[in-house]
Amino acid sequence: MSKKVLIVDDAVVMRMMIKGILSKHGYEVVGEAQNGVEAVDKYKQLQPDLVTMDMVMPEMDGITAVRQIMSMDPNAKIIMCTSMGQQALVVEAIQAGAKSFITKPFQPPKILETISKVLA
Amino acid sequence: MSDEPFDKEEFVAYFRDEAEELLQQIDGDLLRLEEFVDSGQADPEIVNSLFRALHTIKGSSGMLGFTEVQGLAHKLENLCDLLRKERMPLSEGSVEFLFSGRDFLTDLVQAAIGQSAPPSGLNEFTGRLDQFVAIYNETSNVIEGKAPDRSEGATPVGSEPMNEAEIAAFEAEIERMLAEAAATAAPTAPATPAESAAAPSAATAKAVPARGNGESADAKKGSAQGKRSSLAQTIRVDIDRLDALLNLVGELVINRTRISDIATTLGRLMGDRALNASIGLIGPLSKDLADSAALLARTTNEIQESIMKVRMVPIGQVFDRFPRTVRDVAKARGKEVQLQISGADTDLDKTIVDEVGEPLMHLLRNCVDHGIEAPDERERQGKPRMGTISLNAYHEGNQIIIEISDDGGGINLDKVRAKAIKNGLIGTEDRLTDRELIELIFTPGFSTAEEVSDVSGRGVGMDVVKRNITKLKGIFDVDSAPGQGTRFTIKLPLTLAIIQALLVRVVDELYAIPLDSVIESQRVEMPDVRTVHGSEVITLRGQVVPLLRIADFFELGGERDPEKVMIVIVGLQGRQVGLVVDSFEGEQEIVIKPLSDVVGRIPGISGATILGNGSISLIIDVHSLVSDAYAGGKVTRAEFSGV
Repeated sequence: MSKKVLIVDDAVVMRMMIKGILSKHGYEVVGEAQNGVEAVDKYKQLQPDLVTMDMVMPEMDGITAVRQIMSMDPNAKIIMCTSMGQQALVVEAIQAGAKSFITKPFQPPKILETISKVLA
Repeated sequence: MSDEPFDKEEFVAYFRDEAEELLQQIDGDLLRLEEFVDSGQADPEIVNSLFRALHTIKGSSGMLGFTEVQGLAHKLENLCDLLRKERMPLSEGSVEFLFSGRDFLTDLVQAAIGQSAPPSGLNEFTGRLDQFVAIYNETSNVIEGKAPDRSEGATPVGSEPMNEAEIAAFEAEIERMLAEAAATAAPTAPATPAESAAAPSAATAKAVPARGNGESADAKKGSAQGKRSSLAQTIRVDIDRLDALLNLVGELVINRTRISDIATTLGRLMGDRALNASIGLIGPLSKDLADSAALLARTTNEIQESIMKVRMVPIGQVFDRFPRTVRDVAKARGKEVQLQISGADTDLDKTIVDEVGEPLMHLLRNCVDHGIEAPDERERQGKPRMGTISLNAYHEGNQIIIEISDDGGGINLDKVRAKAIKNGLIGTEDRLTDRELIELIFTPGFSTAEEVSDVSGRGVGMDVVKRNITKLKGIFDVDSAPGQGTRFTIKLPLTLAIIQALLVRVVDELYAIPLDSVIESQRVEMPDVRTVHGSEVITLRGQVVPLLRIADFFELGGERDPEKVMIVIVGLQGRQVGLVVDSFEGEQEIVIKPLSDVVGRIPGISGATILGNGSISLIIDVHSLVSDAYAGGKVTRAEFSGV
C-alpha cells in the first residue's frame, strides 16, 4: 500500500510542487496544510506516514508544529523543508524530533531519496 | 531539473496569484510599519509578517527558477531579519528601502511571468541595498564581538542562482552543527546526525529567529482558529471556468423564456374549446407543461442568482493598493493627505472589480494632485494642514455606488471656462451652466493644470476615466464646491451579463433598451413635437428633450406616423433623450452577447441578445445615442432661444 503523506507549506506553489513529485512516484498525498495549526489538526485527523514541514509559516511555525505533533505521536516521521541560511532552525527542528530535512529549491531525486530513507 | 515533474504553466499561474496576494500584504505591512518610524522600534508582529511573505515569495520563485525574484526577495528578507533581531533601528531609510524593494519585486515578478520587461535600475538599487545592509551587519557583528555571521541569513546570494555546491555546503554545515549539539547534549545519541531524533533540548543555538514568532503564534491561536475555518471552506477557481458556467446559464435563461412562451401559447390554444374537444388528452399535458415551465423558470432564476453570487468579490481587493498610491503621490507633491476607506467589503462582479481599479486610481491621484491644496495654503484658508480623501462604496438597488471625495479647493470653474475658450471648445459669448462647465473636463486633452506633473495633468485623464466607466455600463458624475472640495460618483451595475430590458419595435426590428436607463415611455401627439434648429424636441415637465428617431439613426426607412410618436425617454447623467419607436413590446430579462469581431463595432449598438422565440434583438447603446443627440450643443442653444 502506498504511503500517506501530509504536505505542510504556506506557499501553494511549494505544496503543488511536492505533491506533483510525490504522487508521480507512488506516494499518496492525503492532505495539505498551510500553517502549523492546520498541520497539527490534519495530522491528528489523517494519521499520515510522513509529513513534509515548511519552517516559516504564519499562525504557527514549523518547529512549534513539530513539537506538538511529536508530543501526540512520538513515532511521527517529519521532514523539514528548509531554505539556505536557516541552519540554526534546522538543528532546532531535528532536536525537536524531525527526522531529516530537504533544502529548497528542491531537487526531485534528493526529495525522494530523503523520504525513502526516513520511511525505511 | 531535467525531469520536469510538473506543468510549469499551471504553476506559474499559481505563483502569479500567490505573489500578487503577498505583494499586496507586504504593502499593507509596510504602511503599518511606517507609522512606527518615529519610535524607531518596529512592531515585531508586522516585521514577522513581512519576513514570512518575502520568504514565501523567495521559496516559490526559487522553485520555478525565477532567480532574480528569488535573489531580491532574499535580500529584502535579510533586511527584515535585521529589523526583526533589532540589529537595525526602524528608520525612514529602511522603510524606504523596503518600499522600493517591494516595487522592484513586483516588476521582477511581472517580468518573470512574461508580462513586462525587466525593471531598469535594479542593479543600482540592489547595490545600495547591499551597502545599507552590510553596514548594519558589520556594526552588529562588532558590537556582539562575533566573526562575520555565516549561519543566519547572511549568506550572500545575490542574483546568482543557489547552486548545488552551495546547497551541499549548507547541508554539511547543518550536519556539523547537529554533530556538535549531539556531542554536547547527549553523548549516546545516534551517530548519523541528520537522522538523529535527539531529545528536545534547551541547549540550541542562541539567536533563533522563529522563537518569538512561535510564542506570538500561540498567543493568537484563538483568532487563528477562526481564520482557519474560513480558509478551509474556500477554493480557488479559474475565472474562465466561471465565465463558461455563466455563459451556459445564459443559454438556460434564454431557453427558459422560450419554454414559458410555448407553454403559454399552448395553454391559450387549449382554452379554445372546439380545439380542445378534438384533441382530448392533450389538455392535462398542457397543464403539466405549464407547471414544469414555471418550476424550470424558478430553478433557473436561482441558479442564475447563485452563479452571480459566486462571481462577486469584495471591492476591497482593489482598494488595498490605494493607500500606498496616495502616500506616494502626496509625498512626491509635498502634500499631507489621509485616505479614509469605507465599504471595502461591498461585493461586485469580479470582471468589474478588475476593470474599475485603474479609473479609481486615476481619480485618487487627481484628488491628491489637483484637489488637495499644499499644507501652507490649507492653513491660510483655515483648514487642517492634512487633507482628507474619502473613498466609499455601497450598494443601492441593483447598482454599486463608489464615491471619492476630497476636502480640497474644488474645480475652478473660471479656469475651466478660460481654458475651454482658449481651446476653442466654447465661444466667449456662450453661457454655460456650472454643470456644463464641469462636463468640459471630460473632453479629451483637457487639463487646467498649469504645469504637467508626472502624476496627472497631462490631460489624458478624465476623458479616459469616463470612457472606462462608460464601458462598464456605469455612470460617472462630478460635483464640486469652490473651496470645499470635489466629489466623484461612480455608479456601476452589479453584473454585466444579464440585464432587464425594454423591448421596442422599430419598423421590422426588435431592439432592447437597458431598463436602468429608461425613465418613462409615452405617446406624444404630433402637434406637441416642435422643431428647433432642425431638430425635433418635446417639452417634458418644463424640460426640453430632444427626440431621436431610431428608424432614422439606423437608416431603416419605414413610414412615419403623422399623428403621434411613441417615445422612450432615456436619461444619462441628467441629460434626457426621447427615442422614437413604433411600439413597446414589454420588459424582459436578457443575456448580453457581445457582437462578434466579424461584425465589429456598430455605433449605437452595444451588443445582441437572443429572445425567447429564438429571434435576435440588438441592444441599444443608450450612452452613445444620448451623446449623439447632445453633440454640438444643440440643446443648450435650444434652451436659450426660449423654447
